[in-house]
This record gives sequence, structure tokens and C-alpha cells, in this order.
Amino acid sequence: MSYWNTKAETMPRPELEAWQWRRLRRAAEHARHHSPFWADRIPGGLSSPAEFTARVPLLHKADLLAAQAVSPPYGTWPSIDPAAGARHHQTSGTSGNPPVRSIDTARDWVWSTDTFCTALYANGVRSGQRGMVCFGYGLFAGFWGMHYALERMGCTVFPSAGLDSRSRIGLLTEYRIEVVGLTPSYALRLMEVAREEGVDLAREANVEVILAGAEPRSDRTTAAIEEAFGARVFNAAGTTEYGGVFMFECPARRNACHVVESSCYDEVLDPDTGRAVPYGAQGVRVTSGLSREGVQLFRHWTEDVVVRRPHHECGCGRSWDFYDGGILRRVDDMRKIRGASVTPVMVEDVVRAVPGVAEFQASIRTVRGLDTVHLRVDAGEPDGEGGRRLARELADRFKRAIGIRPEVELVPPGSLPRTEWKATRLHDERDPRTPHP
Amino acid sequence: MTNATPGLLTPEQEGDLVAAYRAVRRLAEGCEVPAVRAAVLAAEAELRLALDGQDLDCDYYVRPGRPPAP
Repeated sequence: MSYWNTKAETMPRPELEAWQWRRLRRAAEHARHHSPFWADRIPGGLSSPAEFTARVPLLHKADLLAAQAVSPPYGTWPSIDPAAGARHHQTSGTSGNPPVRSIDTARDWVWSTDTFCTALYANGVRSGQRGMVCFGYGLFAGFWGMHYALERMGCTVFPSAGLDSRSRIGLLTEYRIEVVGLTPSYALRLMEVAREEGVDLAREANVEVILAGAEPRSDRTTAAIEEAFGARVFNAAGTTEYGGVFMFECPARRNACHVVESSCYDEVLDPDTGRAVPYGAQGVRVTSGLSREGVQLFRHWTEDVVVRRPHHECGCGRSWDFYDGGILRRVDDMRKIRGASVTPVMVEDVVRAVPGVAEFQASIRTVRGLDTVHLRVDAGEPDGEGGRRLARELADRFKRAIGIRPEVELVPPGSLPRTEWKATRLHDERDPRTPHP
Repeated sequence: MTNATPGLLTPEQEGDLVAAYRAVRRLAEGCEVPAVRAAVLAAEAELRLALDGQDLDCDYYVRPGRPPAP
């Protein structure tokens, strides 16, 4: 086993925890002295991680937005003069809130890139390979870090912003590109276009490693992508608020996503009590950054639901704990439908199990006082009997897995939205004022 | 030269890394040639990450404000 940074990744646990605390204390002091926002939240003289978690309040997205609103665009949050920033990025703002805006120094981007290198190296990427990043290269931080990481590792990067799916497939086959970064949704889209073009990606392209991030996905989706590309799919995640990759999937254990503990100090808390949960229990990821200087995070309530497991349960030799299955869901993703708990990944897992489904959208509605699920499915152009058979199979599988028989509507090919970024496929259209036990 | 352990720096290499960082820091503070200063600041950012990743103390947050114009 080899590592991007052996010292950091295999440091014995007691040393690692002591190192984290030194860095956390240093980062907190920097924030307290240079950010008015953090000066109000971080007390001086913190002497231990326990004191840190006891005295520093949890940070919610609304707190950051309020700090920004004091004096837009960045407000009181930054720990630097924003004029020293090398990069501005911001969240997409799709939730209806204003975007969270981040400002990074050149040094922050060196660190951020390095976190991507850590993930890519673990996934088997090496100098001399070719990589393509399927991403819009815009204000959203997304895969920018992967682009720079590939350069930093000695790979040749094909920046594919602005190219359509056919052109990207052309690059994959013509240049024998081995590494691809994209969202699971966009991987499915490339597969669909390749089928239309008569291209067998597994045979005609040369992809070995797919880094698929930014969306939760089901195991079935992962398997479908791996089969179509003939490549291994790895999970990784980062956020604009944090500024780098905080976890990556290990090749030594499927779905084990190591926390990049050299750069963050993570807690996993019970969402009801706010207390730390033991290894193996579900809780919400609360993170503090150890490396960034432009804008900093301490005790950020991410709303990511995770299950943390000790490092030694993965056989790779890293001393970094891992999240089993990565981010399982968001706290607010869970929907109750006639008493059943349903998440977007559960729905995706059922729908993707039915051969022929290219895209879908699911809506939860109230019809005559009863919660119902409406599935709109693009399955190409099946003939009449084929379409009825597919709809029946889908409804049967849904009923067996989730306990509700959905209404299935086959829609014309290509009529449902395809996206490169953060697809939303489960929509709750019920009256939010009505409780759904 | 100390024998290297795979994946880890030797003490000599650690010393060289610290010395290189100090040298570029000095250059960054005193250099008035824009092209050189830009390169030195980039090198400083890289070396700072390398030091930090090896758990070698450096003046991590040395310039919270705006750097002087080259």
C-alpha cells in the first residue's frame, strides 16, 4: 500500500489526535484574532478538544448567511482582508437561500488541491495518466480542485467545460482517458448518450477510475456506472463552506470513506440530544477545519447523516477513521409517506434496478387526503406492451421495497431534465403545513 | 545521508525543507521584482503545505492581511 502522504495518513492515532488539537487551537486563534464573526464565538484560552466542543457553539448555515448579510458580500466571516483572496466561490443557492460565498488565499488553494490529491492517489491515480473533469468550471467550487490535483500529480488534464456529452465521449475514446470526475447523474447521462451513439464505453474507452461526487447515490447506480464504463467508481466529498475534500472512498473496503483527519476535526452528534454518538451509530457530521485561512469553519452542523467507524476496520493501513457508506443522507432528506421513511437514495435504488430506465422524477403528493407517489419515467421508446410491463415491474418493486404502490407515468424520451450537477429527483409537493407522521 | 524509510522524509530532508521555506519567506518579504516575488509567493504556499503535512511547525498564518503589491 502506498499513500499520497504516508506521515499524515498513517500517523498513530494518539499522535494524530495530538496533532489535530495543535492545529485546531492554532486555527481557532487565527480566527478569533482576525474574524469579527469568530471573535464573538470562540473564547480564548481553550485547553483541550473537550473544552473546544463544550464552549464553541454549533455553526449553522443560517449563522453564516447572517454574518454575510452584515456587510455583503463576505460580511464578518473572513479571517483575512478579502482583497488578499485569490479565488471567490459560492454555493449554488438552489435551496432558495442566498449563496454562501467563500474567499480563499492562494495558500488555501494549495491545501484544497492537496486534499483532492490524497483522494485521487488513494483511488489509484498516478503520474502520466490522463484525466477529464466533466464540470462547468464556474462559481461553484465543485471539481475545480480535481483539475488542479490532476495537474499537481503529473497527469494530463482535459478540461471539458462547455463540451456536450457527445464531444466528451469522443475525448474519452480518442485519447484513452483513464480518470474521470463527474456526478453520478452525469455519468448516467454519458451512458445514455453513448448508447444512442452506439459507443460501448467499457470496450472503446479506457476509463479506469471514476471519481463520482456531489450527490448521494445508491449501490445499484454505482454498479450500473461501473459496468457501463468498465471502471471502478469511487466516492469523495467536499463543500464550499469547508473548502476541500473531507472524505474519500478507500479501495481496500467498498463504501469506506476515510475522513481526511489531517485537515478536519469531525464530531458525529445525535441530532436530537446534540451528544456525540459512539462508533457505528448514525449521527450528524459536525466539522471544524484545520487548514484554511481565508474563511474558516468551526463546529459546522453539516446536516450530513453519517456512521463513523474506527480506522482499523479498514485494511488499508490509514489511521483515519471512515464513514461507512459516505454521506448516507441529509437530515432533511427523509420523508415520511404513510408512516414509511423514504430517502432519495432508497427511491433511486428501486428505480435503477429496472432495466431500461434512463431518467426519472418522483413526486410525493396528497390525493384525496392520501399520500401518494408519482413516478415519471423516461425509458426510451418501449412498445405498448413493453411499456406496460416496465411500469408494472417498477410499481411492484417500489411496493415491495418501500411499502407504497406508486403511480407510474412513462414520458417521452429526453423530456426529463438531465444535469451535470446535483440532480434532485425526489420532490415533496405536499402542503408543508400538514404533518406527515 | 540517513537511510530513507519509504514514504517518509529523512532528517536531512526535513532540514532542507525547513531551510527552503525560510529562504523563500525571506525572499517574499524583501523581493521587489514582481515576476520573482510572484514565483516566490507561489513557492512559499507550496512549501508551507509540505511542512504542515509533515507535522513540521511553520509560521502557518503569517500574513492575514493583504500582501504588499509586488
